[in-house]
Amino acid sequence: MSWDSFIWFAAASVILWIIGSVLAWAGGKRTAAMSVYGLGIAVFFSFILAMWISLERPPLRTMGETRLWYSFFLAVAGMIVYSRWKYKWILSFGTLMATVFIVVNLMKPEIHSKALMPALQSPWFAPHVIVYMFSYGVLGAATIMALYILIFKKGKETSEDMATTDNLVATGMAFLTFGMLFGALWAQEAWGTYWGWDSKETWAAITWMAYLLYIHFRIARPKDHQTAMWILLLAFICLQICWWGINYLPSAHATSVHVY
Amino acid sequence: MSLFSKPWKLTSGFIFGGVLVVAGFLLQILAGPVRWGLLASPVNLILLAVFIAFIIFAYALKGKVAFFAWLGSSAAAVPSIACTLLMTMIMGLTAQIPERGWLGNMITFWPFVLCYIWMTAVVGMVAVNHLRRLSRSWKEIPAVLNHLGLFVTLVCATLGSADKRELEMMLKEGETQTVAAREDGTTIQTGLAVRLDDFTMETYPSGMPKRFASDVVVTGKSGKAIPGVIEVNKPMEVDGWKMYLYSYDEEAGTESTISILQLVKDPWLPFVYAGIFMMLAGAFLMMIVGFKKEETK
Repeated sequence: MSWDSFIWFAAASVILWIIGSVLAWAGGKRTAAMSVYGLGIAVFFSFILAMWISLERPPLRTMGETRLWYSFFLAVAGMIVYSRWKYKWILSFGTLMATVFIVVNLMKPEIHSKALMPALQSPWFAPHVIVYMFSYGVLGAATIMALYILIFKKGKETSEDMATTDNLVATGMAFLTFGMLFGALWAQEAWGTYWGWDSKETWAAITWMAYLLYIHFRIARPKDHQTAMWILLLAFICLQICWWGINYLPSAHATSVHVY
Repeated sequence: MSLFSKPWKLTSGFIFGGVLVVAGFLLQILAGPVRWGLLASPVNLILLAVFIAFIIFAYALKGKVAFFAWLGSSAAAVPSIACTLLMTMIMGLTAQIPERGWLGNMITFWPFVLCYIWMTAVVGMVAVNHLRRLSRSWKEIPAVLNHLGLFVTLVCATLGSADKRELEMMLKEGETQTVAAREDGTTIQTGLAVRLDDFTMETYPSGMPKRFASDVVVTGKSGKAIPGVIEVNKPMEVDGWKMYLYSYDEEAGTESTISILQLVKDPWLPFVYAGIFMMLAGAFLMMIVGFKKEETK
């Protein structure tokens, strides 16, 4: 499988996701919506698998490759939320966000060679990045919830809405913790330092603490939904800086082992 | 806001954070940056005992002293996380180059360190709180693992850093080496004899490195010669020394006959690992049960 065929798989997935989203809006067709949407996810994942096989390594090294997983997990997170909490709009938003990252990948595919430098040849590599991408996807869905509550609900959000957001953050936070600690265990195996305040690590800690702040704020001030949602948006900005933003931070670029 | 009687809330927490940052600035001016090297054993063990004693003392008096009651509550958790977050953000936005002054070396900057100590004290108090409730409800397990795990990790990683030894050992093919260099350039006897039989570097057709490997024979305290291959991500351990592949003669490239190993001994590592695994287990459980919501309060 080569990167050239991405457009066909992506187009098929997006069309299936759009049909699934429309069926969800139509109401009463939950099984049909989820089947079509799920099929879109399967098509997208088959491309990731094919890339994996043809590259002879997990497609996780370049920015473009991590975006592939991000699109995939955004769609997955959307489907999980839909199946549990039945928001009819969530599939559309999942589709929209996944499509944004697909388009970025089509415009700017970046390098996808077979080469994997020795530091990345570790059993920790795949779990570290996949777990992070899943967490980014789920926290992306939590961000959508925050925007939905801030813009459309404006103080009329139900406890159900808040519970959904809290559950997404709890799941995302758990995977954020896995990703960060897998990274620490890997770093210890690779160069004997589990934490070195590398700029990627620093921003990973910042992101982790920002979501920690949300969780504890929800416990300390359960009725102040507005502030909680703003913390969630701040946390998402930290997450984006950690993921790709630090490549543009002059403070970080010179010294990081994570620049790719 | 009295230390003993009036209840401490979120706002007083942020004031406390502000005071802590100002105090940090004063310390920075008066005492200079934090000198982590001074923590080497036994100082770190004494500090550990003092810190744990303080947490137990504070916990025991939380019924009498409003400040201590607050210290173990979510009203202290929020401002302590927020202040620590802010300090870490400053670190993330400024290039960490010590020559650039205080902000270029955040890990020795007192306001940064004090915020972390404050947050760690809160985590410790909360951990004790959840531990006490554990006998009444098994639902406390995720919270115990998350807080105790983070507490153990932070405390042991910080206090243990001064006891960690990192040495560089330069090996030449066919020769045996026993000394290694400290960071400051001075050398010491390691108690190990390492012979490099062969250094290999393989590259991709593009010239990018694919594999580095050093065939070595290590003789430790036991006197037994242990053969091994050290690669990136595959360290070797003898007599508590972990040996990592660190560098080679970069000018010679694939022809290099020199291999530089990094020797690391970190006596606090098992405790840091214990904390990390507690956090991993706690995160796993949190994923299943979610975090506690008190919407009805």
